[in-house]
Amino acid sequence: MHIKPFQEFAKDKIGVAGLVLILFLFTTAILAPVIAPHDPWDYSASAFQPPSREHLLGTNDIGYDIFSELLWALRTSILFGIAVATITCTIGIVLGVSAALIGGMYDMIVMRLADALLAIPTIMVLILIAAYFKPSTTVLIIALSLVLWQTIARGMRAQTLSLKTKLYVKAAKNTGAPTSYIMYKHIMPELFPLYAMGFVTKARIAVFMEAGLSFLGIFDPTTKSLGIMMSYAMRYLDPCFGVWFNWLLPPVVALSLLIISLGLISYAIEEIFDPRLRRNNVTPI
Amino acid sequence: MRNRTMKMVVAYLLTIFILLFLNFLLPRLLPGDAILAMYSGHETLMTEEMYAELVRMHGLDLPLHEQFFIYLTELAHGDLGYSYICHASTADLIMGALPWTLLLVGTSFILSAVAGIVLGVESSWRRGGRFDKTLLTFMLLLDGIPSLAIGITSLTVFCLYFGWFPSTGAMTPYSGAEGIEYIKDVLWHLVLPLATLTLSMIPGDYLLIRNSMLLTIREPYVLTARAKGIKNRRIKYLHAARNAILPFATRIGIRIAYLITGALFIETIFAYPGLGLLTYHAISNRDLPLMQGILTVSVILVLLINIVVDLMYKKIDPRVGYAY
Amino acid sequence: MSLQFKNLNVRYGVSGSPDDHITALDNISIKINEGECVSVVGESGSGKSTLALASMKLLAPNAVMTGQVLVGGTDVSGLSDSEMETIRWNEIAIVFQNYGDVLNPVHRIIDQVAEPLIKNGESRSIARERSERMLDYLKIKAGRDILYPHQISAGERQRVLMAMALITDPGILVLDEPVASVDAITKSYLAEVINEQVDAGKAVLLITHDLSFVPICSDRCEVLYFGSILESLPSHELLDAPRHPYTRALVRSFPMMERAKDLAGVRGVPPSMFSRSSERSCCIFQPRCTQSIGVCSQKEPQAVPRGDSSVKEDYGYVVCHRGGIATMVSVKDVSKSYKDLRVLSDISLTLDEGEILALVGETGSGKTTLAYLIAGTIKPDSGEILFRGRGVSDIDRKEFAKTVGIVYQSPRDSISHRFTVSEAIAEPLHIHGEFDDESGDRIESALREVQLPVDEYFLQKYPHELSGGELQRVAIARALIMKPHLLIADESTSFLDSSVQAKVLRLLLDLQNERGISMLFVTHDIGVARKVSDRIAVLHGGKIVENAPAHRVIANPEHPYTKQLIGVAKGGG
Repeated sequence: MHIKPFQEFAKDKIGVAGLVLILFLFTTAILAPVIAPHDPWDYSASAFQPPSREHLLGTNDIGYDIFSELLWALRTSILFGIAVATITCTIGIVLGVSAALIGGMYDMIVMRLADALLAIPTIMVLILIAAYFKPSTTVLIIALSLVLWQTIARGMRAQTLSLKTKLYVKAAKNTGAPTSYIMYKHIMPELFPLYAMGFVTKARIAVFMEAGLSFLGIFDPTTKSLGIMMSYAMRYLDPCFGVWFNWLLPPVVALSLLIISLGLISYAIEEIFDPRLRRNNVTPI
Repeated sequence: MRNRTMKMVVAYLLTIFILLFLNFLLPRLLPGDAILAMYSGHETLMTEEMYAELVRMHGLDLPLHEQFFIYLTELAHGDLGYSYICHASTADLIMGALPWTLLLVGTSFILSAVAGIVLGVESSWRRGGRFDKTLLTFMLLLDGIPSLAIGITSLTVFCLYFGWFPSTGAMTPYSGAEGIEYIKDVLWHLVLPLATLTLSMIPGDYLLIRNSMLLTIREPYVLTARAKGIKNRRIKYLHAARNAILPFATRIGIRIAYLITGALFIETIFAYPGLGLLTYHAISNRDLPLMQGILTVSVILVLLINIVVDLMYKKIDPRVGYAY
Repeated sequence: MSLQFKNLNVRYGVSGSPDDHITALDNISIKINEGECVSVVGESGSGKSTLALASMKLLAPNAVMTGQVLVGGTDVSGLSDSEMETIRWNEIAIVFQNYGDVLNPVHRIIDQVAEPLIKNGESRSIARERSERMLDYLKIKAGRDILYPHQISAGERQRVLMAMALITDPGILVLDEPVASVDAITKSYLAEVINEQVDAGKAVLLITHDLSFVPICSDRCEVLYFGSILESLPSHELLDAPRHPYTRALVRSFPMMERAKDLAGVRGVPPSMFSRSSERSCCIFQPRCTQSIGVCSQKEPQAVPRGDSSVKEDYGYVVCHRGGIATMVSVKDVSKSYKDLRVLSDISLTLDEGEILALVGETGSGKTTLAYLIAGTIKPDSGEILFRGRGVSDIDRKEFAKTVGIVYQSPRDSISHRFTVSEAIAEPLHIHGEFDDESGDRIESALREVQLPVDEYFLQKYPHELSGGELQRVAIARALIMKPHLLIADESTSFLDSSVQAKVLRLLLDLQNERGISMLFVTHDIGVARKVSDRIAVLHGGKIVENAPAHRVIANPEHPYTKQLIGVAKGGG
């Protein structure tokens, strides 16, 4: 059955909700330098100011404007997510598709490597790598991508293998079509749903990892990050002090919204593209 | 069958290879001085003698293959290195923390799996109904809230605001409680970290089982069972869910790795003295040998679970390993 | 215990279709008594499986069912799932089509067979023991009952499914394609089992597309087309005497050992599920029917009894405006003499709509005379010939000539050597004053139908430039250009060498099937007759000595002359 993905998506309430949310967060993050009322790297008032018109979420322990920090942190999260998702998916596609097309020993090695990565707790590896190298965001993006590609590669390989046996691919081949043509015309378009799905899933993991790692103190502490904000806010976490409301809660909510929106989108994509999950295909026999 | 076993073995060997690469080779391949790289952040404290001793300790003056041989021998003896920051054997530190993590992760795995399976099965059985829709929306939202956020929130609310639960540790220190009292104390400390971790795992299990069930419900054998007049609950669990949990079983290893990641944050937030908190301390103190040790132990843990699952999978799915 | 469907309707809610639903079963009424087996046949998509599922109220959630399903007198159509639990398998059990994972892949087969017993409160050991015996009855070898479904063969799986259905000894058995995936040996064994169960008093609903299985196991047969029963007939008549054009087309499509005629398939394509609205104002088979008339597209047909009304016995019914396959030509007591020579004496014969009748006989047997009598070109001395109920002699000659196309023995003789191809084919159009601007297109399409080129060069060729085969095709195109309802082929292929003959025969059969016309195939060669015809009539000495379905004539010839013909054709003496 041919699916018109965008129309289907537009019909899916869950997907649309996720998309609206992510667009909102995305726009905010992109416009952070414009919207942010203060320089988040410079103190703008005395410490621990309660929320006011000037400082929407008040100020932190050294007098930085929390709202501005939040916007920049969101920006970091989103950029990190996009970067990791892009690199991971690229690695995954290249390895998965090539494994399926080349086969043999190469296929065996790539797939076993993918299996092997399953047993390694990603976060521990990142912590270790961060400890070896000086915590640089770029290095962490690459390191994370290097350990996250395996599910993408696995899916791409399976799909490519099944496409390879499709008669229309064989027909094109028998007609003399070069591999590049088959890749471009027949295989790549069919892999799109997997790619879309993989991109969103990995972006989601990456956003979580970024927050988590910075919370643990892996990142450069001068970077604006939701995790770092949480971790600092936690230090002043005392019911009497009351900073949890304007300092701790905002990054927690922002992170949750970001991950929720990605989760909703990935759920919607899965429902659209897995024909077996579609509701309306009850076949009358 | 043999092919499958071989694939597994190759994957396990590769896992160990990656582990060795990360622990042994990568620090030695780093540009510049390995010792300085490994102990960066503590350079100022380092004297000439300490440096020389470290070089000798790590055998860095020996050729690479001999270093590797020594490393392997030590590893085989359960020697995971020595933490200079804590002045203790890494293995001892880890063994002290491991039981708490196992308690937390193990219990959480069982609870979330049971809850995820039951909720997923019931939800898919009522697809499109109010129960399903509500639960699905709830789970999708809960799935979006990272364990970090759940942990921080519950810590703030239940420990700091209401003060219902202890905010640190796995038991009350120096209480001297024994028997039932001790167990109660331990459980008391376990409640919040466990609830947080479990809560963060349930949506994943739920969504996996629900999707798998939606596919299984359409299988002809479910119709066969219905035709046989079998009771609804028996069809649901013995016929449909029995098959629907197969994809879940293959992912136990991944779920455990997820859980360990989650535990890292939860333990840090609740200052629960498991591997997670130990890792946090290692990070804060740049205690490299300790980090390496923790990585080794967690990889071996996941590997062992994977092996057990692989061996057991044949029992769960009779089709596996059957030559047609 | 009996099973009865009363005015059963099933509709599936499918978004995107007109009215957002499609009709799967339309007003179905079937009664199956104790000790009776009723089979249901039809193309895929006809609603057979829906019927099976409806009998146990197992339809998909998007199905809406109205009407009654009586299981031993209880109407189950309104019962809830939990109420059905006690009825299912205790009173009515089903053997599903052995397709995919119809058995649960993770449970041992014996456990699955025993499950209904255990559910009924039987102890585990007794249930197991009874299951073992049941599996043994179905010839599952001892020791294999503890295997998993994927470890046994397809034939064994089918027998396990049967064992599972029989384990609770239900009064009603529903079999959905029980022999679709098994080998011939297992099939005959399953037939034995089914017959034993029927003899033991079970009511059996047998759904199958294997027409040869129908007379072996069942007493009555319902022909389902697109959710409606078109014909209900005694099973033994299915292969030999179907009365509905659809039933006949199904039989023609089914490969049988005894029959040599090429498979034809039902002409046209099955209607799309989505095309049908709930309101019906015509016969659903009309678009594919070979004998549709005006009323067929205006009114829904009613059931009329099959066979003679004089016979008391119930021969079922057929749902057709024309009362089933209509007689196109009926020849009654016709005699014909040329001077003193009596060529035909008291001949009676019928030709049905859409039927291919072979007239077989030696030279001088009168077969050609009979053919031209039917074509109306010569008149009988006595007796009458009716064409669609009207006397041939009463019909306007010229009008009638349009209805009958004739392809003659020798194309070289039948086409003027002065005519080009184009002129030859256009001749009937000129004759009937229908030659106009569109005739060029008609000629071209006629040529395409007979697989000849349509370029100007070919159109301007003369007969002597064409081969025998090409020329005969031109003759066929000429015979068909007036869109006749009856095609008479008078030894049309006997002058051709066998390779060309094969192609021309193939062409004639395809044209007959696609146009749905009737054909009178006159030949001296019983070998050819057996390949092309539905029915063979053998003429000998001016009399019809044999007239029966082609495969019967070949398998069991009655008249010595026929036997001799067949013997000679086989190369014997």
